[in-house]
Amino acid sequence: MNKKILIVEDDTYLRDLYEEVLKEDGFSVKIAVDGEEGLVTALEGGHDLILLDIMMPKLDGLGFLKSLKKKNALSKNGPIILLTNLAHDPVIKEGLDLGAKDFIVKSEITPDDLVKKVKDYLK
Amino acid sequence: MKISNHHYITTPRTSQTIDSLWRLEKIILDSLNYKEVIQEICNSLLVELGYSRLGYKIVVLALIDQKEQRLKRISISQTPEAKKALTASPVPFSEIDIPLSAKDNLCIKVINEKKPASTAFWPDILYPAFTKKQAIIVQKIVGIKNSLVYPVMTKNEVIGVMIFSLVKPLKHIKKAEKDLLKSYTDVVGLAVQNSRLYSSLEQTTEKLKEANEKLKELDKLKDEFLSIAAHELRTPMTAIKGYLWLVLTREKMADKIRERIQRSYDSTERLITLVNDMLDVSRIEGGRIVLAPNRFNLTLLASQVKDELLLKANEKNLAFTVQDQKEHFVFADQEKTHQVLINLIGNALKFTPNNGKITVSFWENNNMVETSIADTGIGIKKEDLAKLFTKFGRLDNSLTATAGAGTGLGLYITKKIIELSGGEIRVESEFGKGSVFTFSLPTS
Repeated sequence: MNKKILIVEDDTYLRDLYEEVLKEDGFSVKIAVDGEEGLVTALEGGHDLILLDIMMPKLDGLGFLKSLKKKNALSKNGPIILLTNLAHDPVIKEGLDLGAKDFIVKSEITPDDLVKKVKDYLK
Repeated sequence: MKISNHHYITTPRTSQTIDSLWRLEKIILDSLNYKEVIQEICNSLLVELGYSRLGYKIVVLALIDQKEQRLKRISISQTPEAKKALTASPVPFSEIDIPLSAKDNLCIKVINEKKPASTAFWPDILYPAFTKKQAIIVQKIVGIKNSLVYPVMTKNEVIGVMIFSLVKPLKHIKKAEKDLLKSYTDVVGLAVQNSRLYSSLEQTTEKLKEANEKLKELDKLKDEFLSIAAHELRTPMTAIKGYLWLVLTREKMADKIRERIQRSYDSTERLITLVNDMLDVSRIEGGRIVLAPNRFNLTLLASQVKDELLLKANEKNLAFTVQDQKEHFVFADQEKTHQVLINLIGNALKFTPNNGKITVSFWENNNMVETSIADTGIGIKKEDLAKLFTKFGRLDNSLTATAGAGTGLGLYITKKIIELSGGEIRVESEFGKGSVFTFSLPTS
């Protein structure tokens, strides 16, 4: 059974890019284009890992985590990894405190680094 | 004229005069607020110094309004006679003003001649603000016999007059009184000038405060704008970088094309660093960089940085050592120190040719840990050392141009972070042989 990844990311090109490299490695990928859509999908549960962008329209990453926590639904899916744009951003810590497992600074990694990190979590 | 029922003492005690003057000076010079000063001026002579008992009943201060070229009544003593005069006055006190061109007015004469004068006839001092008839009526109601007009001076300039109105004849005025009045108006001149200066200083300070608040607000807006702009810039740059990576790692292509794509990739990376650095600079210069100091193992951190950069060092076959035999602890912001080490060691890697050597060592000195990063790189020319830590102070030579990936902000940010942490950074270098960057951080 292929591992299921949910990507919650508002930038189309980045979303496509991550979807492509993850599929390349045999993952099954679901996408959500903003926090609200992501929340609906996440509440269905069953994803082995969620890649969650922090800055998004409608509902941002932190809002997503808060809602999930409020509904006691953090355990419906596998680990959540934050996608951020800026290292040393204070919101990273906030996200980790809200239940995210780790974070990836998108601008500092290659797509292959991202796949490697996902694989590390799903070993 | 109606006989006055006022009583007064004819002789001031001369021994009191000097003492009175001291007290007067203290009263007037103690308060700096302009409005307080001018009110204090008119009351102090009569009330505080007891000149009311000597027959002095009303004191008025009038000052020249240079802009309007008029002599304006500014303040009047708070005495029963003054109240009477105010009630009887056909014109509100603040509107009693005399044009400087009214040469027949005694006050104007005093201003022009810079000498005191007196009159028993109020139209002399109130016309043309009052009609002569109005002036006579008011004088009668209040029961004033004489008025003395003294010029108020600052250095050599007359700024106004003091009018002392008495219920006694001129011949009852003693020399001691005249001396006091003269000294008194001199003090008034000083006090008015001081308080004017002080009030305008206060106003200026207030204005500066407002301007400063506005600047702070603007700076905050600038920072917010820059933060958002940086985020918005980073997203497409990350996408470019990611897709170029896919092309470089997934596609077959001619060497020439690969080289070009690689350069595009490198340039995108450089742009991302530049955007991040600019954000850092903006925060540092706006004083909004937040340091979270902690005690941590600096030696361990340096070893971690070495691991992070080992791949690049191996590519150039560099002998890269961190002298970690002894552990050194510092009190600083660990993340920012990490940034400093990445920057300094990264520079050493960048500017050291193949088969060179990079050594990171530590020692303690006066509650500071000194860290030095020594390389066998290209070195820095003496004339270039001064601009090394300045913004965009990147040196122009072929190697920095090709080595490329710098933004010209790295060493500036590094220096600021170290200084904000309570340390210092210095560099020694010999062109062609290598450089040693040494920075210090506090142990506690």
